Amino acid sequence: MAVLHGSWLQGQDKGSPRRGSLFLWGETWRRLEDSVQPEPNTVLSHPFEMGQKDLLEFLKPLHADKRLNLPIFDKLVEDVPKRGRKSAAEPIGEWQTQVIALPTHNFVPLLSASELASADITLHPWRVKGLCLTPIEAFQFLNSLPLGLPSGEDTFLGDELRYWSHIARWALDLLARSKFLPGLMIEDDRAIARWEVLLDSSTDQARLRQFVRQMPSVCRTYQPEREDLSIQLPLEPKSLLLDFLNHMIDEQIRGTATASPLPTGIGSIKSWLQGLRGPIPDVDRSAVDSLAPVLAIWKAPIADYQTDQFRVCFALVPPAPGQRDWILEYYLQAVDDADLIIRAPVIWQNPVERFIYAGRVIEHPQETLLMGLGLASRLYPLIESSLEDVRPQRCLLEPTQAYDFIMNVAWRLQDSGLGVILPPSLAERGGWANRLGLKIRASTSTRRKQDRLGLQSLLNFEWELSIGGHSLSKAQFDRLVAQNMPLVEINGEWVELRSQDIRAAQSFFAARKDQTTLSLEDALRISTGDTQTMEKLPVVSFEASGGLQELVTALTGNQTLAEIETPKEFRGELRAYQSRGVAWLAFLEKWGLGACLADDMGLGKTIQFIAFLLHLKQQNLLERPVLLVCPTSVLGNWEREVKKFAPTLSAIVHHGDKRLQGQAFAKAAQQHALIITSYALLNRDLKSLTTVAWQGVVLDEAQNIKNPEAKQSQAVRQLEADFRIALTGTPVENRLSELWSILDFLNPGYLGPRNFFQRRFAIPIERYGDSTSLQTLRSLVQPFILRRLKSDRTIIQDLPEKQEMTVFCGLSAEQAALYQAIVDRSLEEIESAQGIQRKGIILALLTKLKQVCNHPVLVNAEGNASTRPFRSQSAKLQRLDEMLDEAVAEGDRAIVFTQFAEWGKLLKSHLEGQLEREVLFLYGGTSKKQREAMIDRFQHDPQGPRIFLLSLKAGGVGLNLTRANHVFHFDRWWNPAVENQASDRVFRIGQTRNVQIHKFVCTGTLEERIHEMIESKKALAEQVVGTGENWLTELNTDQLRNLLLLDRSAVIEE
Amino acid sequence: MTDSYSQPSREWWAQRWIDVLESFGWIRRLARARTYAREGNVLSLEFEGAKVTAAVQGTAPEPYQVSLSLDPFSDEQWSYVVESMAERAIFSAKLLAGEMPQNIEDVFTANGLSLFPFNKFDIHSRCSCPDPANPCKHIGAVYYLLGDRFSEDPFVLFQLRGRTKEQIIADLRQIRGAGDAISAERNSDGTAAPSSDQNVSVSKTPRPTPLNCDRFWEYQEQLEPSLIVITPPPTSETILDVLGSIPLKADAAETQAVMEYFKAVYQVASMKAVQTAMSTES
Repeated sequence: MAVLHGSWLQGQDKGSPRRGSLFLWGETWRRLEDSVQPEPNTVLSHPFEMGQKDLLEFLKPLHADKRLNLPIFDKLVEDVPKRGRKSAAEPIGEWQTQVIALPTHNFVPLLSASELASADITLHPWRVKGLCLTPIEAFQFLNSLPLGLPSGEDTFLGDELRYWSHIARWALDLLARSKFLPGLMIEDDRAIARWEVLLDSSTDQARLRQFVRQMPSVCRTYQPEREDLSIQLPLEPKSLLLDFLNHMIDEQIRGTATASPLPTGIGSIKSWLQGLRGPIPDVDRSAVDSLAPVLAIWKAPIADYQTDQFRVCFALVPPAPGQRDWILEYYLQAVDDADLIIRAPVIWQNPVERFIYAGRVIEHPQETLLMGLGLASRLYPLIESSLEDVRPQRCLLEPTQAYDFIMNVAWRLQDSGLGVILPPSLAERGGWANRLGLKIRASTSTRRKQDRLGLQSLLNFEWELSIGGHSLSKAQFDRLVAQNMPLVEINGEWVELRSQDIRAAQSFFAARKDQTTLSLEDALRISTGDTQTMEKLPVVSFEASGGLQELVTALTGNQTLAEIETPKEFRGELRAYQSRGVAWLAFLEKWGLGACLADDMGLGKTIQFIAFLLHLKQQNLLERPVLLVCPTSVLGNWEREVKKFAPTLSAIVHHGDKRLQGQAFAKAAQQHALIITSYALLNRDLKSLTTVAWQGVVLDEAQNIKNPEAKQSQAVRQLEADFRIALTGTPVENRLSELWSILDFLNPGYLGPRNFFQRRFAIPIERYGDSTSLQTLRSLVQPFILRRLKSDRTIIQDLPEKQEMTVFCGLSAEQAALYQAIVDRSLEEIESAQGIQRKGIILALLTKLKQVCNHPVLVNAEGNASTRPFRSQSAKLQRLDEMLDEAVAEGDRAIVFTQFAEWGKLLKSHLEGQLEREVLFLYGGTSKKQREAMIDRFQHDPQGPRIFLLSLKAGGVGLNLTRANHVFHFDRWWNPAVENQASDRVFRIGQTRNVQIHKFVCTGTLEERIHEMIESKKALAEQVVGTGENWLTELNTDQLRNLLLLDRSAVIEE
Repeated sequence: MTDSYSQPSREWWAQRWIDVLESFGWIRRLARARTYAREGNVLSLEFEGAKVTAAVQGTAPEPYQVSLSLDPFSDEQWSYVVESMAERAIFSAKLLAGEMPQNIEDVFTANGLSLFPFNKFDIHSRCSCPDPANPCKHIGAVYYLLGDRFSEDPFVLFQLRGRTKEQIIADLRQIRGAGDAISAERNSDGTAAPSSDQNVSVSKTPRPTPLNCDRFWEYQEQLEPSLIVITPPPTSETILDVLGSIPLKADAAETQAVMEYFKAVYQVASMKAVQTAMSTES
């Protein structure tokens, strides 16, 4: 993977007038064969720069997928130096070489994604080749980039380009708000007409300060072309930023201005107007000579906004008791600190050129005040009469004028760079707190206990009308309305009384108050801050009591649930966080709410769910069967885990060609606590499945319903159930359509219809990184999702550093048939063979069977008759796909061992296609050089591949791969010592995270039986098996038959 | 051919200046003076204190030297004027914001003075041309051009009466200060006392912004919510409305045409930006 970098190159207006441009270059990790040798007075090429060819290759798919818009892409070709070409003299199109000073350690520039913690870092110039975009192209390009934060580490975009894309967005906003002015720049004998950005408003001033502060340092160390190694002082962020904004705005208006016809007969200023449109900004200097002072006079009222530290500020003060008029006080206010204000009388007392106040210097305080008042009087003539005073300090406003000031004048003054201070109760016009609204107190209905609650259950509630935090009786309300004033005083506080709120309140009183209902869902929405109105009235306060209070505080995360006792029938031990997980599932079940347990892989979602079922059973609450839906590949695993941890819980797998249907199924289902089936059958057997009134429906690997249009997603919604649970290990909050689909299964309708969700959340968050929408969505779904990360040591203190897990997989029909055929044929041969020949046949047979368990194609390459997709033919492979997908989604890295190099090759290309990412593969045939390169890359490339396949022989010893924290043993070497040694490639010094080791086993085959033997007699096994797999050849034919016999129940037929 | 000096298109104070000139008669001569002014025959125009000197290209190869001045007010007279001005903050406020207050003349008449020349004897002018008449067309041209200067900068008018902008502003400040010495004592309303600490380090050149070497590449900010949805401005009012017309030396219709043109350019640019913002949303 590579990262696209780039920054704005400031225009040079003096001397040779180079226009500003956006420079793009690519960075990629590569192995450095030799250390970089510094040369005196030569700026070397960046060793990790992508180069033209790779950059083009890299941009091609991004441009084609419309993930970015590079307007010049189609005309880009590699800039190959032609023979006999007069090198630098000829233009090289869009390609350009640029020197950038970058953090460097030991003469190697550090990659942008690496930590910069090391002490020994210097700035050193490096040369990179890249593309130059004109301002117009840059604007299109930057506006095509996603504005949101990239998900995960796999972004192709450098942070600094995201920064510039945000600035381009700001430029777009400035254009939309007409924040620009035509200008004329006269320098020596040149006159240039151009549009300039106007950042006079308080908002833009604040943005300017913020963006100046946030500019990544790398934007400031692009160097002018030169040959020596010296580095220039970093560019000032403000001038770079303004240069960018001016270029963007100027070029955009030049383009659009030509749409309006030039006025006729305008004499000398014609050339100026002409210079302000189209491509050529130069104008005849003599023609516009006298224009410059005219423009200076014209712009005089706003000329100082960029340099002033203080501005005039107007504070609206409510009338004193017994008075009617409002007061507008005049102040000076620090531009960068709204709290630093100085009253007009203080200014008038100090007729000085420089006034020092609170450690700040105010130049010409009185003139600043007067000039601001003069400008304000243009925008708001009402203050003019107060200026007839010698030392104006304030003016009086009638109540309706005060309201008009709040509604219409305040923003206009602020938009012109003046400050405004409103009374706090009136300042937040967007907020609810001070509006006329409802105060609600709610509790759960005191009905019979058995009644199940759910999102739609109705609550008891009381309401009161409230304004500005004070309760209002009907009579008080009527009195307020009778005042017929937009601003009213309640208990000493002034608030706005909006006519639409009055109307809503009146109709609420008149008709609907008795019919209004409040459901649990409403209560949740209100307390998570999503919905804020009822009957068009804002809900300004919400109070829950009794059981509802418990629910609301627990769900909004203000209180952790008490751990539950481990159910007596549970065979095993729950870790503390698992016990909390069970309690959480039980709590949501009690309230009839769907729950999504989204713990990281390896934290034991399965056993938490099993313990939860036992908990229900222990409380005599498990009355009807529960349906568990999972991927085909884990059916066997589930069955085993239930047997192992909850032997008293009767579970059956609904799968295979002998599965029951219709009435027979319904009857059988009633006799079990848990029915396990696969997603594949969900739709096919829907008719049978819907005949059962399930107590619960549970989805394992719930990302399988991420596509709401898919048949299984549709089918699962048709199952009736009291409770619904989803288990998933993928970071569901970050995949919004998946989130919607799962939540809509769990709590139908809670996130609204899908297209609403897209509009309200998905687009603002994914396209624009809208943090407000994200916040709302998070608090909305947070009650229903429990996700613990294995990296979170505060929650998960008791996780071992190394966790070993066996992953049981079934066999596909193809695998089963082949396995059976090989066993049958070989056993005959073995019986008739002896001695060394017999041993040979047995070893060959074992190898073959292991290969079948991996994939049929390994033993039957030519005769492979199956028409099914490659991955469907191996249950193990499906499981590996799923688990790797999850691990990668969690940001982890994994190594996968196999003993068959041949399989490794197939697996590599399969995984690369399946996961859409590069996979490394190291085996005996890998050259030493390649091998070192791969390991180096896996360990050090910030964007390097996350999956590393190794053949057990070539990669089992000697390597250090501590960047991975998952080890997969895809097939088994029946020797724990060999496997442990291989696993230790990851579990070594330098490993900072918990390591998970996943050992794959095909159930019903020799793999399972040998696994059991080893597990049950570990000590013995190590002696027996210590020397390799030879011990197997010592078994007699009957023992061998028992070992190899295929248990058909493990076969997965769909 | 439009004649930019024949119609009132200037700021009111510049128009007053021209009106005074034209009230003296000499209609034909002034018509030629207008042509001179319009066609750029006035090659230079400079102030030497309160006196204006100009070079005007006439029919002779060498330009004629013109000088023009009004009777400057004495320091005493100015002190009265500034005092009257200081009584109403609006004068300072408007002048500082680049505008001539409508009733500025009141300040002068209240003190028995006239800002604008009253009759032709108030204007002292000389020209090196052979024409014995005064004003000759060269003087007239300078006079018209001064009108333009007034439009651009109202303080030029004061300069002809002997005070620069800086002087007036400084005088006004002083008077405000003197008056306050008395009122300051009465002012005990608890307003924060100004700090007398003169040791505050004040550096005119801002300190260079340091590089952030720990986070050399980093930018982890979310886009500001207010930039997510880009909407057209709430009103069609723009900075053009705040600043008013550019004080061009063109007639009203032409100036208006320029402003209309700008208005159209602003509208198209704004519309286009909103469209771009919306098209990237899908």
